[in-house]
Amino acid sequence: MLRIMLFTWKRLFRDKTNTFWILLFPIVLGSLFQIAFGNFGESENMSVIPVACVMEQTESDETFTKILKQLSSGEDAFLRVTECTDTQARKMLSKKEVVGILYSGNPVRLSVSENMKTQKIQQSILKTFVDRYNMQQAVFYETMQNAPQKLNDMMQTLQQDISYNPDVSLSRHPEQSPFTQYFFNLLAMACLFTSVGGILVACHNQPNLSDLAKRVAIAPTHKPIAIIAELLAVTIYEFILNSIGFLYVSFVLRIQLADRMPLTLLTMFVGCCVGVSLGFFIGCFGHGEQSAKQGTVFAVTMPLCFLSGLMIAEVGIMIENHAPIINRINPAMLLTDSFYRLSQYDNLNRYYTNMVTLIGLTILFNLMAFFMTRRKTYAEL
Amino acid sequence: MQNFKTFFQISKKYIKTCVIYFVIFLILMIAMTHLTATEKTSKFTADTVDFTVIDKDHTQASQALIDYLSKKHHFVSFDSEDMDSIKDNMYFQMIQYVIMIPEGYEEQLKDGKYEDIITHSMRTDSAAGYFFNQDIDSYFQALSLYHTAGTSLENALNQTEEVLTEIQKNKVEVLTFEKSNNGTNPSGYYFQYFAYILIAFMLESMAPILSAFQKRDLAARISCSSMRPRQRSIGIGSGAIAFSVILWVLIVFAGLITGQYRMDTPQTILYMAGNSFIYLLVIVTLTLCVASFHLGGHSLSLVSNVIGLGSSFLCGVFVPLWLLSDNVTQIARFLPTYWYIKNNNMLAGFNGEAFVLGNYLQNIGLQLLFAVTFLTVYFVIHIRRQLKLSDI
Repeated sequence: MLRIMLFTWKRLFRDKTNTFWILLFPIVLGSLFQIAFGNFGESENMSVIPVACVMEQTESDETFTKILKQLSSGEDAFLRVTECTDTQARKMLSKKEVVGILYSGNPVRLSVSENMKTQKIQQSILKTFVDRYNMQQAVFYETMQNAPQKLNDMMQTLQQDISYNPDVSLSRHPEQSPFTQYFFNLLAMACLFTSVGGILVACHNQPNLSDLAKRVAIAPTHKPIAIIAELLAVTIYEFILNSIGFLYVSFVLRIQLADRMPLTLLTMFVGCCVGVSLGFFIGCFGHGEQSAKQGTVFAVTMPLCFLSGLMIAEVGIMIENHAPIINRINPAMLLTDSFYRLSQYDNLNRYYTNMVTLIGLTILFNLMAFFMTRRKTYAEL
Repeated sequence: MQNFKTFFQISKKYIKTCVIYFVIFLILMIAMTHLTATEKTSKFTADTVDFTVIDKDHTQASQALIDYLSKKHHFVSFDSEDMDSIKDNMYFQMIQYVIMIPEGYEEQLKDGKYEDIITHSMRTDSAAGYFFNQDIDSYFQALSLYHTAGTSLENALNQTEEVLTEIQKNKVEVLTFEKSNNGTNPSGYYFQYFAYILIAFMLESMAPILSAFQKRDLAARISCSSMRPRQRSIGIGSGAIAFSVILWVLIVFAGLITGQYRMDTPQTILYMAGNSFIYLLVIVTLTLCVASFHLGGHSLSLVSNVIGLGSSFLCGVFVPLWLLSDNVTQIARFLPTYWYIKNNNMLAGFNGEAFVLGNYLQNIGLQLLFAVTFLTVYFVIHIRRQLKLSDI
């Protein structure tokens, strides 16, 4: 058995192009993800918002100007105000020099441009500011009419710096970027792409598909043992290559995956097992050529990765909310979810359930594949 | 012409795989379009935040807070015991904000103890949580002001809701300076995902056909013919273009049948289709280059994913271009997908930009430059290889 494993490793290592690309795949794609998401949302940050202000000569102009001055001065200023006429303000808005126009008065009004959809967050922040200002103005106006003696107390309440609603994080790593999930998906995809290794094992045991298989078929070795040895060798080989990619993602790109290293590596290994056995199962179907079977594997794994949220992040959780059974049997989602559980949860019950399901799938794929390969005879080759 | 025919003879061998890829990628493309096209709104509305509440007080006061926030934002209901589900939904962006109302909330309000009266958990990466915080602060500020004015809690709750509802009636004026598409039509998303699907499909299905020409025996047979190297390359190249044009027609036609263009003018669709056709030429030439390296099936899958997914994430196919940082867009400029997506964004009105024919043609020109570059690389590789073979 060891001898077969050794020869399999030799054969795999000689295929330099494949080895090179399996090794490089998570590294290159991980680096590209890091470039794309490294400063993600930078344009969405709450930096200073340029705004034009038109004074409509009302009673409340003085208070409004005072507040705008407060909000646009100092280090933590959130507005940059340009006071101007309506025509000038509209011109500035059309040239996208400001995000919105504030009109003083009771209530204060806001105008934004439909041609600045990329600044929607900043527009929303302005709207929230305007609403809050109008609320304070309305409450004071109402009190002035009903209970003017309380105005001073209200002023004091308003000036108190009270935190009503402090932040209490629910996750294990609240600082972790949510885009880390794309890296989980990437590692899951790398694990599932090992299915091509399973195809190789299947084709090397079908004498109508390769010369090597013809030689293997006439050898006196017990067939199941030979296949198990080859499957094991391929799994270990692919696991080592994928682990290098994982280490690169963890330590070079600094994606938070390494704080439960043994369990993460176990997940990678189980992922490679399920990938190879899936490939072996598909490879044992029919008498198609190796390239056609490789194509089939890709056609199967890509939709699985899509359903786990590789292209659109929300897909996985949408399925979880509406048809969770799909997530329980989709190996790509089981792997992605396992990496996510390891990174975000203290309680690992669901992680262990995922692992058991993946091992179950591995056994199922292998049993079905073995069932298809047994008692195959060839009248002529 | 002989190489052109040979191309289609070889492609017959791969027809089953091509059909499987085509069906799967088309389903993915339509699914992605459907998932993303239904989320957006056309006119300006202050961003609504998807939130949930873990209410342990279950009183009139706690319900009043939930009712007020639900009017402005989108309340998502969960079984409050299932914290795992809430955490997962927040991590995967289905909700952005969780409010926790503790037991004794109403009593605290009656006593005028507003400090840390509730707690929350929100996604740290998005500004959406910031203005949700502002809304909650406005609510408690109004409540505390009424309380200070001597109003009873029940009346204060009612008055707060009234005043905040009244303020919501003060609508934001939306000015339109340039007429643009509304950014919600499925056609824009359909052609956006075309960018990824095309790379993945072409590299997976056409590259193996082209690689067959690199096989030693076939290459040697072709090289000993009387044809000039350039003629041979043109023959293969024309076959690849004809193959991809058939594919392009099928995809555009599939969009028509599945109703992706129902909300657009024929002119917009023509511009989108024109943009995608030029992009098709770029990807054909890229495939010719990649196939020249004679990669095996597995390597080809990995390379196609690296190119397809990598360029899609960098150039705004899967995430909007304007959310990427400036550094990323500077890098993306060196990729053809960026210029394709820029045109598509403009036509679909994703960023509110109006259609300008000059900009459209400029982006088309830049894509063509990429096509010429890839084609030059292909000719250089191909001719050098032919010369090498003729030396044998």
